[in-house]
Amino acid sequence: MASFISDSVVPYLSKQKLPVLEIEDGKFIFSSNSAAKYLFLKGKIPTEEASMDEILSWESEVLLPVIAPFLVFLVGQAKRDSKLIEKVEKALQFVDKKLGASKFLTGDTFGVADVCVFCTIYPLFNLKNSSLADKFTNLRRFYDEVSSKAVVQGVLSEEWKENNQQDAFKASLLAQRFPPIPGASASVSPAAAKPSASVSLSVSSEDQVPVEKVSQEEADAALKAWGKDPKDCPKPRVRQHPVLPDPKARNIMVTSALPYVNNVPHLGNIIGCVLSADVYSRFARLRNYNVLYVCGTDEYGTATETKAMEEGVTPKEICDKYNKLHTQIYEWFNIDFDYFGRTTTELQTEIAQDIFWKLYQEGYILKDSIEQLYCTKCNKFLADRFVEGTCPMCGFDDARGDQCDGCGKLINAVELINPKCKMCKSSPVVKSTQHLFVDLPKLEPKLKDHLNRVYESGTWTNNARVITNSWIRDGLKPRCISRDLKWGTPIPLEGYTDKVFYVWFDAPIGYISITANYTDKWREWWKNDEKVEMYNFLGKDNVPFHSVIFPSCLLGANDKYTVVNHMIATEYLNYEDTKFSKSRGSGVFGDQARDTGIPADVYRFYLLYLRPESQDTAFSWDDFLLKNNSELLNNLGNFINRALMFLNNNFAGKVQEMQVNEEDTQLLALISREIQGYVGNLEACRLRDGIRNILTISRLGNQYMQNNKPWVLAKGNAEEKLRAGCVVSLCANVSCLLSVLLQPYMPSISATIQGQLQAPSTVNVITGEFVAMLKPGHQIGKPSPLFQKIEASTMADLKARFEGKPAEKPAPKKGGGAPAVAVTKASPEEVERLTKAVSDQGNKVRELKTAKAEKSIVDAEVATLLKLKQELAAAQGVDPNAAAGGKKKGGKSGGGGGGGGKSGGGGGGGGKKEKAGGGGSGAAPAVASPAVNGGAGDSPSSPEVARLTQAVADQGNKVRDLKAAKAEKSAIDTEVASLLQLKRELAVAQGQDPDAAVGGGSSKKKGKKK
Amino acid sequence: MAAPMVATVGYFQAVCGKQLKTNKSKDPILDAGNGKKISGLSNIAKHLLRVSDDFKNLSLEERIAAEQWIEYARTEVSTDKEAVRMVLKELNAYLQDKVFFVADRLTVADVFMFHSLHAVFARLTFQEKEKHINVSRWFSNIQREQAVRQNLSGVTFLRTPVYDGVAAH
Repeated sequence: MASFISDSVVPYLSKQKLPVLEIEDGKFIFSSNSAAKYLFLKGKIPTEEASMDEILSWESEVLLPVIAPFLVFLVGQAKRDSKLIEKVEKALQFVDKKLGASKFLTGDTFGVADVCVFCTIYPLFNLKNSSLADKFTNLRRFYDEVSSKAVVQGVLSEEWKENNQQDAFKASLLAQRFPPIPGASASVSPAAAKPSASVSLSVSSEDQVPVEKVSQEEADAALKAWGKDPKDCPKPRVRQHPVLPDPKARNIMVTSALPYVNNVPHLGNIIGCVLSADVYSRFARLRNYNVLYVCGTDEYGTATETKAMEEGVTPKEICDKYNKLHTQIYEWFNIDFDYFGRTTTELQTEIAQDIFWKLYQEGYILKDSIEQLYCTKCNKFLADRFVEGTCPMCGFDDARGDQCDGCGKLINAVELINPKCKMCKSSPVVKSTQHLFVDLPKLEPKLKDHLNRVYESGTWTNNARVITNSWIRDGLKPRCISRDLKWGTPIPLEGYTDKVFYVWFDAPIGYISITANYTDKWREWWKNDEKVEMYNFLGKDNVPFHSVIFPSCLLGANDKYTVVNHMIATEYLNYEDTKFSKSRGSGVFGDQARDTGIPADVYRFYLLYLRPESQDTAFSWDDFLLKNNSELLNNLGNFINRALMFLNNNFAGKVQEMQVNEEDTQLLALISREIQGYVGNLEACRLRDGIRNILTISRLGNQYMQNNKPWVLAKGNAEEKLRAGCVVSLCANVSCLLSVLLQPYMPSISATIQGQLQAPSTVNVITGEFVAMLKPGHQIGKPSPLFQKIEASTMADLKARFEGKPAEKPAPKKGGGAPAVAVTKASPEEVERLTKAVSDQGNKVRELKTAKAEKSIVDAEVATLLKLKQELAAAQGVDPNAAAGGKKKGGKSGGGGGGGGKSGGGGGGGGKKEKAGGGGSGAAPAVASPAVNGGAGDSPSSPEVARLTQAVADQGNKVRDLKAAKAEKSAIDTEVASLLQLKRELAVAQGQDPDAAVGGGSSKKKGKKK
Repeated sequence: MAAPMVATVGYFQAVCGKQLKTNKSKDPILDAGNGKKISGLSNIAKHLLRVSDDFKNLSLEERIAAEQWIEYARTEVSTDKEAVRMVLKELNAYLQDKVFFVADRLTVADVFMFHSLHAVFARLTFQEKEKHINVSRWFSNIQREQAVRQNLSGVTFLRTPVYDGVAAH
């Protein structure tokens, strides 16, 4: 054995294993069994590997894990543990039995396995109090035999004989690492005794802030700021509605992208614009800027009109209903708008038409005729979404006028094959119609000038710049601003009065009209480009409308409009491993957040903590729990509560004299640094980073408390008591600072802290300095905990609740009676879902059988499988009883598609059908259902049968070729699976039992499964 | 059978094209032909490393290295918090400059380790995954292979480091 050293040998192992074999530079074999085996194989010593492996695996997986704790216990505490002994004996029986049958472990010659096992059991024969091995006579014989070998003797004398055995062994034992085993001594943690339910490792909150050096200048500045008289600090600006620009202040107008009215916003929408804008505007108010924050619902457009038609109400009623819902959600999330309005107001019409006229007069409006579908029955031109038909690209027969759901491509509605009016189902005709366009190419120079200026002076997120630049680089084109709809702002121009403005011309003008609904002095904000800065907060999908189209229109109107100066665009927030989806019910939507019992501020905190700033991020419940419990509860909440409780209990809640010493100054300087970081981050709208600054300050505070231990000092002499008073009073002031910095993120918590501190409202200004606002003698209120722990079980419940389901309709359940089989075919999605379910269930049954599970369990699963098959058959329009029955007969070969996967690949043709097969879900006799349905299609001459016959033949050839070419087994297997799949499909198309069809190949199949 | 074991068995069956059976102590058994039976997951894994066409180009050194990682997966990976912490740290360090565990391609060692770590990764928070970025990268790469992932659920990783600012402050 190598010498026992604790130095790092294998660089990546944190606790060393010894011995280690370095087979070439930097390549280590740290497993002694593998190393021994390697040396034997390298030395070409004949070995039968399979039986050797059996012993080696047993040694590492069974024997060592029981011997190690036994020895540690024995050597470390000189005690024998009966439970451990029992385990060791049980393990030893195995080798003892083996050694009864042959001389050595792997036969009658001495081999690797013997070396490795011998080393492990050696201590059992040599340590005091062990004596345990004596029971096993074969093992004893083996031990004597091996230890008498000259080569073994040589090694032993080196390592053992010269030293005191026990000590040497103890040292070596402690230098080793062992797998965690229950119930032993110091080197094994007590936590290991039972496997913990969660393996979640807590991070961050325990991480200490590394102590950093503070320069003398920093320390002096911090000390000076600290000592300032609060009376000399700026007072918060009074916010009085209506907020109007103030010539003496920095005037900031903040907008958040207008949420579309008939969607309930999900957490991703909320962080994307309204919440981000809220944090920034709250921060800007704390900086004493003069801020106006407006938002509202975007209510015009096709989607609202369609939805109203579906629900049989007027668009206005839909908007009223949803506007209220939005308002409530944002109120719950503590979004502090100056005004939350809507786009369907008279002022919207007035202002939009005014801007239009200005553009018209300035020569920026073009007229052009375009070809559009016209429904003669409904007497109107059809907007894209009001047309359905067959996709000209992929042949999908349910494509919409703007986009095909089959291939996802964008479509020009007039190109649809067989277009139908969505309302009356009659065929529309192509007619040319006049439309209005904004001449963006002509406006381009003005826009570029403006952008170059604001890029320089303003804050533009990277994605906002990149998206804008790519639009401009590709060349701007005239953009249509009229639509053939009723629900919109009417176009005032003669000849177009039956049309409305396209929602994207109209919607951003909503910012203006919403302001106008807030105050009749709206022009002070909107026609004041020199004194007002505008911040747009939005998701990246909205960038071009805010950075190109809207600014172009405002610049073209030539009316001194305030045009965007700063654009803050977010990426997307996903939900767990998927997207937020209302239809699938996955993810948390605004109205549901309230029902989870978690406070709005905690949601705000977490959403801002993972705000998707530079790339997409994802909401995760587990992470949410961790952040709440580690950052809010253990870090921030713990610090503030501890400081205030202590002040309350030991000093009657009165702030004490603070004689700051050098350590305190250090703290003040570090905190000042964080405040400056915070201000820099929020000014640049790096909202996520601002949270880090806050958490670092409370972490510094926790460390400071821990270092000074005021609870000890308070019990000491007079001087120590004074010091305790200073420490906690300083911490109370840090808490006060935190309450202010926290306000943009967690407004209610901030108010709670200030309530507990009885802090005057004048503290609510962020100057970038840390001033002691609570002077000696200040009386605080009653402290109480700020945050609640979130239990893992609660999170698990929430996770399950918002997990969502694949879009599905209830499976058509047939009462089981054969006559009721007059089947209704289900949607392709449903068939696909069931097909997948059958295949999954089939796998499950096979696994259970493989695992020789209890019959009752297997039977239960088989029953489920049969039921699923029946449902699938029903969904496909086949006789469910025949389907399940047939499979049952087929026995083992059932559910054959299990591995097939790519079955659709060979076929060609038939868009939608191929999709079902190609989706990888496996067995999909779904394909041919038209042929089976109703019997009429049974004719073998059906094109589907012909196609499949050809496909089977082709696939058969392919498999034969692969075999002939001695292709990789896995490749052949895949193709065979496809072949079987095709045969199955063919059988179904011909109306035969699919299992019978592949039955011939079933003996083959058994071996070839996947 | 626990889910990871089912996955491993499923993968073995795919590699060797044979069904595995189980003995009375529920260990999987592979019929290696000539009346030879290999029992136990790690022994089957080592057997496949020797005989499967998928791995026939491995050098002896690579094969032994793969074997030791299989042993590591079997003996070091557990649900114990401390053990998990150490395993992640070590693997993260090891995988710093590697795409796979051995030989620059997928071997049984990756698959075995993947199945063993699946339950661990399924419970890690984004922050923990980010902290162990190398092993996370490896895991995310491995799980893309359906034949390897088998019945196990997908684990989500963020493409953006969200927490890299934490340590800096």
